[in-house]
Amino acid sequence: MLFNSLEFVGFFLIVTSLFFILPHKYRWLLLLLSSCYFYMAFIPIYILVLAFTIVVDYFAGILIEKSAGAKRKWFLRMSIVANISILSFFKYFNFFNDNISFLLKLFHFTNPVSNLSGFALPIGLSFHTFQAMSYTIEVYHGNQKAERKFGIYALYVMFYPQLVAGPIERPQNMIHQFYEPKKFEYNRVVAGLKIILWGFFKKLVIADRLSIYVNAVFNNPSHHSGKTFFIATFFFWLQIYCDFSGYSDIAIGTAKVMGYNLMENFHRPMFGGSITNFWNRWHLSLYSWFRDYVFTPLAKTARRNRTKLLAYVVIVFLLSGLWHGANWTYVMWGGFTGLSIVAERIYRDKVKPQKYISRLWMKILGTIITFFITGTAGMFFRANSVKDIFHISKSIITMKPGALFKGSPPINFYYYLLVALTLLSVEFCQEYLPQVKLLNSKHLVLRYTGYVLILMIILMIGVFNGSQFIYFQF
Amino acid sequence: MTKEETKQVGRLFKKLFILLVLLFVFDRIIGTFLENAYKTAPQGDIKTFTHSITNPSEDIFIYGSSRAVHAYDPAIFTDSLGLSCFNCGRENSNILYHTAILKEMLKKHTPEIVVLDISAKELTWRAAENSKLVLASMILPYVRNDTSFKNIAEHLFPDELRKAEVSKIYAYNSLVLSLAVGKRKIKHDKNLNGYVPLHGNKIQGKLPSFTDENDKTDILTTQNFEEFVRTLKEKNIRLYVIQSPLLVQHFKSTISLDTIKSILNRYNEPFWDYGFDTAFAKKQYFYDNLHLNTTGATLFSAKLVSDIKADVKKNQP
Repeated sequence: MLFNSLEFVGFFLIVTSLFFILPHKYRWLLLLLSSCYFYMAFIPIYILVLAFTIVVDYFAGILIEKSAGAKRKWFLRMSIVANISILSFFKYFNFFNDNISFLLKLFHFTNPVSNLSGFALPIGLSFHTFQAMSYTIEVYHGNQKAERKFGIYALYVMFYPQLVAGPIERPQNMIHQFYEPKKFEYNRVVAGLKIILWGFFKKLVIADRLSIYVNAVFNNPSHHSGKTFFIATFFFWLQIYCDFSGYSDIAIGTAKVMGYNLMENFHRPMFGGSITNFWNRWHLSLYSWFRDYVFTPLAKTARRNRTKLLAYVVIVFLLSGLWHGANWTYVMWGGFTGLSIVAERIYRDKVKPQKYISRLWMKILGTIITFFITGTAGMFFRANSVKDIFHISKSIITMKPGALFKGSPPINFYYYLLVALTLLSVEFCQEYLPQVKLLNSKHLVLRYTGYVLILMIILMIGVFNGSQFIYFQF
Repeated sequence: MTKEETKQVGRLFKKLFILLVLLFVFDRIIGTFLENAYKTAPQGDIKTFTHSITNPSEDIFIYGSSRAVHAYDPAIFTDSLGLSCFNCGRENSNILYHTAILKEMLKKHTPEIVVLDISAKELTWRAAENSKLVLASMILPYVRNDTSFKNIAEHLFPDELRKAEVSKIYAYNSLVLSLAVGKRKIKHDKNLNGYVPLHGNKIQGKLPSFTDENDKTDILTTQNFEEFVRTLKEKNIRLYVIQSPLLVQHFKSTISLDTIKSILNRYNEPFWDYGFDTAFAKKQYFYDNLHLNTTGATLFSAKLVSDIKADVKKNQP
């Protein structure tokens, strides 16, 4: 079930109403059943994959807690292997097999293993697998008690607002919340609804509107000029940001209405001022996952060896690339991003620009450069193939001549500019002028003007083609 | 639920009700303003569409996608054949769109000739999906008053119809800018009758290849194509189905073209393929690989008119 569908509106109203009507002791069951229904609205049979992960990690958690020493580690490893195996089978088997076939072909051999066919990727697999893994890892580290109530643990993995595209939660933040009685609090419910409204605006008005242009350009790379690719890359950056952060907002808002607090997933990354800060503000739940469970353990082994530490940054981003998808374009994206962080680190340490440039200019230049670097990385992410990455890069660098594609009909180009400008203005105000408020204004008239304005804009220029959120595929 | 919670629920419903009333009022006010702009000063695509369905009077009507919009100059048809002509092509459209407006037009007017420009992917699913969106944006403003358009919408995009029935401004979704700037910026000059000339040339590098390997024909679209042909046949209106010139690597046929040819054969209607006609295979005639520029359009229109003239002469009793 997509958030941007009428079915979801009905589902949300029914589940939320029942949630507040039912006594606290039955609410976990309602949420679990509704989460199952939500997930099964995609491909019902894949609930079994999810069930397998849940059962394995539920028992792994208890066994880890009960045991000590090598045995404890062994149970953790078994749980991680089980999770990674499922992920690899559905997500990476064909990718690795294709590459093996390619290599064997170079030496005139034929790969006897054929690709798996008839398997679609279970929706949100990477998200709930990582969330399940964070549970066993935290139990292993003693930061979380193993959950004895199976239904509550299942709900931790399956909680419908964040089931298919995050935020990837931690057990310490979520599990205790399912035990707490939730009251209907007007201010909290309204705050949640406002977050949902802004999430829908980002998805329907900005992301899906820009996707029309982006798809037209990236799906026909041979037809476009350098400046068109440049603009399309910029638009894609905004599109993916609004698509994913819009989803996160709807998830966070939906949970908030019922009284659950999910972690923040985006914190206006475009105003980070540096590449490193950008990644400290983008998809926080994933990158904190990689930081805590991959980078930190690796960094401990590096014993302050700087070269090793920087190499681990690149490795983490290469893994993050693979997490996004089984395609060399994602691996290239990860490699490029990791290297850009390393380059920035080295530049800052060696050149020490803060000595020569004021903080304000550092911030301005940093924001612009970060925008270009992450935009380029975004192009790697969006391109349909490695060949396209080279073609598009070359077209932008050489500014391949030709007219600027404005979309069809060309007047649509002004919608793209308008929505891009709207987003930049809103995020600028949120970052630097927090006193400027519309939806959260103290003045009733301003607040209602904000609600009506946003809803009117959604109706007038929102794209209602029911397109899937980009991150669902991961 | 405690008493305090029930009170807070009541407060929320009260506020939501006020918001809904405000929304309804603004929806109707802005919707009426847009409706007025749509009807009184239509420009560009809206103007072409409105003319095609409200006051069609020309002897020749040209249908097709952007390739038709930029390739067929009605003035040349009129000068050479002595028949009035209107180009009601629309960017991103396919036969789903053309059939809908043809049926609406025939209720008011019977032309002598219809020219249908088809693309090599005319009947594919993707072409149909794009066309549905274009058609939705054009006919939703009419669904409140026009039953036939309402039926089309019910059939092709029922969800969009529901939304347009609830919200008046939703019917003008994505048209707001066209309506707002349309009064000042006239894209379709009155004298061009729907034809939009493209100037210059932006072709670079090698000719792109064309593939339809994974394409399948869409059943509904194929049925619409047959309906388009049959309707004209029944009304004794001469139909010319054309593939206008392209500048891509040569391909023999596509699954769409094969299906189109077989349907036309069944109805004994002509298919004239200028796709790779050597007379037009020059970069200077094209704006991009799929669209003729004004020089190419003039030459192509003249050639087509001369062929139609010869055909009419040949078929005269």
